[in-house]
Amino acid sequence: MANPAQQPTTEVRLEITPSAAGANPIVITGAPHDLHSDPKKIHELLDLLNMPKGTEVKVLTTASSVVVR
Amino acid sequence: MPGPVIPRQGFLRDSVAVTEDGDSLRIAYSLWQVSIPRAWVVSRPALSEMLQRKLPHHALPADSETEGLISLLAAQGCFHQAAKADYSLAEVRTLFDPLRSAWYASYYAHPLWKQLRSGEASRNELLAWVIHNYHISRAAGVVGARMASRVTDSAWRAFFRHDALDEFWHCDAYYFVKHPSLSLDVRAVKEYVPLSGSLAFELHTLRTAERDHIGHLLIAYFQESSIVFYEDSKAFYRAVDEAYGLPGFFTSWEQHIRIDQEHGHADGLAALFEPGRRVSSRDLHKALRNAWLAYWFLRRSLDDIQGESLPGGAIRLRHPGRGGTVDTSAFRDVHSPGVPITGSGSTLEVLERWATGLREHIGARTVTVTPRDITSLLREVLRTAFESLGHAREHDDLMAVGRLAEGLARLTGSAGSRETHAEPFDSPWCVVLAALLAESATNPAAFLAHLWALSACCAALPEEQAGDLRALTALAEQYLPPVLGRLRVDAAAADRLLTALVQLEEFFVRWLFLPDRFASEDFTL
Repeated sequence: MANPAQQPTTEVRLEITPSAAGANPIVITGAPHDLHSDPKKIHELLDLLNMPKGTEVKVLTTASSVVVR
Repeated sequence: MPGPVIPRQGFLRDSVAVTEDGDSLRIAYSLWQVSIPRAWVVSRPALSEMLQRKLPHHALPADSETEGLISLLAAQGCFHQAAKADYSLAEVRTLFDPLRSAWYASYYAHPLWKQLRSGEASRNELLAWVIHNYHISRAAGVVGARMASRVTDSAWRAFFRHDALDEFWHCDAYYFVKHPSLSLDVRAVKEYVPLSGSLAFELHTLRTAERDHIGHLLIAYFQESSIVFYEDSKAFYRAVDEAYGLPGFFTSWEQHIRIDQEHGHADGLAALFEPGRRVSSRDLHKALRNAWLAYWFLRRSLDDIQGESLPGGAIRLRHPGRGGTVDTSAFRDVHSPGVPITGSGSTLEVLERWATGLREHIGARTVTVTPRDITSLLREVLRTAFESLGHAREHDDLMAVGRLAEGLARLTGSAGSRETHAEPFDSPWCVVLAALLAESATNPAAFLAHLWALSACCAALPEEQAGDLRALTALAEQYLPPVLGRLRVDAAAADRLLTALVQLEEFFVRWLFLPDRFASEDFTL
C-alpha cells in the first residue's frame, strides 16, 4: 500500500535498457505538469505510463478566443 | 450556507465525472477524458471504491497499471491535495496549473463560443463580445499599475511597472473596436457602458491588486497562459470573421497574441513563482479564491453577452447617461426613474430623482441575500469609510465620512476589525458591490454619493431580510443629505453619476435575486 504522505509521482521516468551488451540505459523523463502548458501532451504521458490495454485519452476542449490581457 | 470544502487528501474531486460507456469507464475532468476498460476496473475492487470516492488513491494496493492510472489522473489534477502549513511559490504554481486548466475547460465549454463560431449569435451579441474584450484589455494596464504602486517587494514592483507600461496601450492599438462592417463610431466604443461581468472583473482585479498580491499574480498568469490555445484561437477568429463578414478584424488581436509570445509575458509571470518565497495556507486559499472569482466574472460575462441577443441585425448599445436620462432598456433589471434629471443641481437632487421608483421596482420579489453577506458588506463599507476618511480634505466631507465611520464602527462592533478565516461572502455580486464602493474611497464626495445610492437600494429590501442594513440606511439618512445637498453638479457630472448609479443597481439586483454562490470545490486544492 502506498505511503499516504506521498503524492503520486509528478515526474515520469522511463528507463530502457538496450539489448546490446554493455549498453547504458536510456532514461526518458516526462514532467506531467507540462501537460498544462500543452494539453496534447496527455498522449505522450500515456505512452510513458504502464496503463491497461485499451486505455484511450482525449483532449475534450477546443478553445476559442484567448483570455485577453 | 456554503462553507469551505473540507480538504480530503487523495480523494477524487467532486467535479471529476465517472460514467459508464459500454465496455469502458470514462473519467472526464478539466481538459481531458480517459477511457479505461470497465472489466479491468471491476477486477480491482479498491480502485472501484476510489472512483466512487470511498477511498483515497493512496489506500489502493500497488500494482503498476493502477499506479499508471493514478499518475495520469493526478497529472490532470483529479485528486484533492494534502494540506500544508505553507507553500513555496514554485509549489503554488504546480498546484495552480491543474485548477487553471479546469477553469479553461469550463470557460471554453460555454455555449456562446459555438454560437459565435457558427454565426448563430446575433449581431448585438457579437458587438457586446468584441467590446467586452476591449474592456478587459483596457483594464490590464490599469490593474498592473495598481499592483506596481502597492507591492512592496522591489523586484515585483519593477516587474509590474514594466508590465503596466507594456499593457496600457494595447486596448488602443489592438482591441479598439473599429471595422467598416461594425457600425460604431469612436465615441460609442469609448462610452459603451461595460457589461456587469466586464465591470465586475475590472473592479475585483483592482481590489485584488490592492490587497492580495499572490492573487493578482495568479489572475495575470491565468490570463496570459491562455496563449497555449493560440492555434485554436486562430481557427476560431477565422470562423467568426467568415460568419459575420469581418475581413481582417482579428488581425490586430493575433498581432497582440504574437507580441505576448515574443515578449514572453506568460513565462515572465511564471518566473515570479520562485521556490524561495513562501505563502501561508490561509493566504494561498485567499489568493485562489480571488483568482477563481476573476475567472468566474469572465465566464459570467459570456452569459451577459448572450443577454444582449436581439433579433435580426438589431443593435442596442449600452449608452451612458446623456441629457439627464439613460435608456434603461439596454440594462439588466434596473428601474427607470421616469423623471429626466436635467440641468445643474445638487448631487442629492440627482440621487433622489434617480431613486424614484426604486422601491416599487424591487417590489415583493423573493430575495436571496444571506445574513453573512450583509455582515461582510457592512464590514467592507466600514473599511472603505476609514479609507475615505483618510482622503477627506474638505470640512463637510470630513465630518460626514467621520460620523459615518463612527456609526458603522458601533454597528459592526468588534466584528468589524476581526479577520475572518471563514469564507467572507456568499454571493460574488456582494463582493463586487463592496469593490465598487471601495474604488470610490479616494474621492470622499463620490464615496458618499455611492453610499447614499446603496443605502437607498437597501431601504427597498423587505423588513424581515434587511437586518443591519436598516441601520446603514439610518446612518446614511442622518449624515449624507447635508453634504450631498451642498455639492453642485453640472449636466455632464450629473450624467456620469447617473451612469454609475445604473451600474450599481445592476450589481445590486443581481445580489438580491440571483442564486450565484462561490463554488469552493473549484478553488480548493
